[in-house]
Amino acid sequence: AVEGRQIDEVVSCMFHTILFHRCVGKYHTKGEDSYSVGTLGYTDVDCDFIDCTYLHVTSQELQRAVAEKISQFHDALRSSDTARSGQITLEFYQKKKQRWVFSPESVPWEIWTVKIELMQLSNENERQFIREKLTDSLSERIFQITEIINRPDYVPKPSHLSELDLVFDTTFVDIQPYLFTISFSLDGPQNLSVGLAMRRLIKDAFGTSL
Amino acid sequence: MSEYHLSKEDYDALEKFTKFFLVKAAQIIVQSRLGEKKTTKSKPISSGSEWVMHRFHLSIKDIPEVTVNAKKCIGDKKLLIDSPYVPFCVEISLRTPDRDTMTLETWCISFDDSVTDQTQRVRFYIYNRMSIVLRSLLCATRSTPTYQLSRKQSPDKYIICYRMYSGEPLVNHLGEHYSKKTIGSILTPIGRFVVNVAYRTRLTVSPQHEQQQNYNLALDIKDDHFTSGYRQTNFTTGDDDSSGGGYNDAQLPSEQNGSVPKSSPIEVMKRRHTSCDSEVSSSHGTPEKMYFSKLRAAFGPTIRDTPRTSIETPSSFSRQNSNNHNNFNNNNDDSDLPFLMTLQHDQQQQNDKQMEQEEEDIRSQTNFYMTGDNNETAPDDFILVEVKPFFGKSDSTDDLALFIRSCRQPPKLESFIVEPSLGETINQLSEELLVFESKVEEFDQLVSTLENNNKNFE
Repeated sequence: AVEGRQIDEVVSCMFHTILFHRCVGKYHTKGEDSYSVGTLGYTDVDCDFIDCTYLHVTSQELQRAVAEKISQFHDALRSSDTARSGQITLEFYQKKKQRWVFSPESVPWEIWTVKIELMQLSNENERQFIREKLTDSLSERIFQITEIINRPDYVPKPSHLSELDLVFDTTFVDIQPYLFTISFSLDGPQNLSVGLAMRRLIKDAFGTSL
Repeated sequence: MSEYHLSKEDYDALEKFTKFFLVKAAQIIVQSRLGEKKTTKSKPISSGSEWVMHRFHLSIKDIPEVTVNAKKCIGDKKLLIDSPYVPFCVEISLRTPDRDTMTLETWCISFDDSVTDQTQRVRFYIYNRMSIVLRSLLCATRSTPTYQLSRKQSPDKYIICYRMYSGEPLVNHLGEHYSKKTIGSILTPIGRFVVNVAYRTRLTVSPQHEQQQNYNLALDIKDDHFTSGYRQTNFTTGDDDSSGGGYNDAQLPSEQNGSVPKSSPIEVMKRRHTSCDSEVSSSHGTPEKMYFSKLRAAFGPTIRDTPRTSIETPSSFSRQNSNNHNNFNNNNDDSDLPFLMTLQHDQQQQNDKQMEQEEEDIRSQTNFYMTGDNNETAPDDFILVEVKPFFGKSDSTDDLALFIRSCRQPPKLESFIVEPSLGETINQLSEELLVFESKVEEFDQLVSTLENNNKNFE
């Protein structure tokens, strides 16, 4: 449960921590079988509405891409009249080639979901209390993220240098994150289709919730 | 115990990676406690000359002193990957201007052969896993309470120090309810690396309490500790068997940070009260407020000594920083105290000027009070008591207010007002003795009745 102005920082903190681990240096191929790997820089970010500092990969492109999605989630949640909570998902996937002319299929291999509940506070004492509690909770989440990431779970590897773009997002200039996408949804009355419900079930089965 | 044997090439690679890993981990931990935000660039192509900086595909610029300290601690011994698998620890502590210290956290990298994975390739898999664990370490160092403390450090309040040692992590001086987290682990064919942190959760420091907790740490500080002849101090302990190497203690730079000052969670119990004037105000909710000023006699004791002590302490503190900074600049010897990139020379000048100004102010104050005979009367002493009782009238002539005042200001006992002389006291005592001797029989009867009563109860 967070205040409206804390949404961006809470989600950014967790997503950038995850992306920092799910990113490699830019690959430069030299011939068919040899390549070099660039290095990842990092930048500390101080939060304004939480007593927390997190770090993200030093890449303007990545920052922009993530901030845009989080901002959309923020606006949707705060402008909604009915929904007081929602969830935003960071999904890592890999592409699997299909036969013939079909486009490659995207298969998720790791899903991180952050559930946000909006709250409204009446006075400064409550605000300060929630701020401290949120700071502690966020620190615990960071340790939880590092623990999950360090498990010996599946991480895709390209079978050949020519198939890098099936695993990594090679569109970034200075870094190479694993293929990822960010989506969100708001809680509340929604028209669910069967397809959408099945998709959610499958995603929940593979996903890791925070 | 694993009986799997690595090939010589893999073993050498693992040993090399382990040393790089330990040094990088130490860099990450120490740099995160500098008190400043860090930014490094992502480089798509890393040049050969920057290989050291870009180990593990992470852009981390090494501080030479930390590397020197870490290598000294690791030494030529095969610390981790060979029996007896002595862990490598980095301890972060806080030091106040009064020389009180409090250990805040202990980071530990250990190795054990209980869990192995013989399918892991050293050159590719383990190297990448080390990179992941170092990233987890980067994130974790920002998530402990010590990080926020380190961002607020300054020579006036406290500074953050680090210490590296080989041996089992010392967690006893982290307080009763310290918290322990595992950052990450790396499986190898012959064992497993584990990175842990134990950090203090209660940040209240008591100087006496800390002294009692220094159970086996003997400080050997030289007389010229704060002078230009300062060299690295080696701390000796009473339990050298547990440590594989020397202790290297150094203080981190206490640069002023530019962030908005926030309330400090630390409550430091000061030994000296340096305030001259005090204003007592009631806490929220109580009905009473009192304002008073201290008596200042024309020829009363000076207040010079106490404030001078509080000024001297930060000055010696800052001079230590600048002197050691000069040593660092002048000497490249490894035995110098490392990592003293603290106050700049002009900042030291500013501090000196500030101290001189403060000393002048105090002198002027004392002169004001000392020269009360220059046709100037001592300031009038007055007490204003404003009583605002609950559920009563705000008028101080109310019965309730008068009652409260009389309870708070009772008259003195008569015995404290009228004090008899020595002769009168002796006469009084001799009269009392005569009375007691005349009534000896009554006292004996009282004692016998008491004895009879005891027997009846038994």
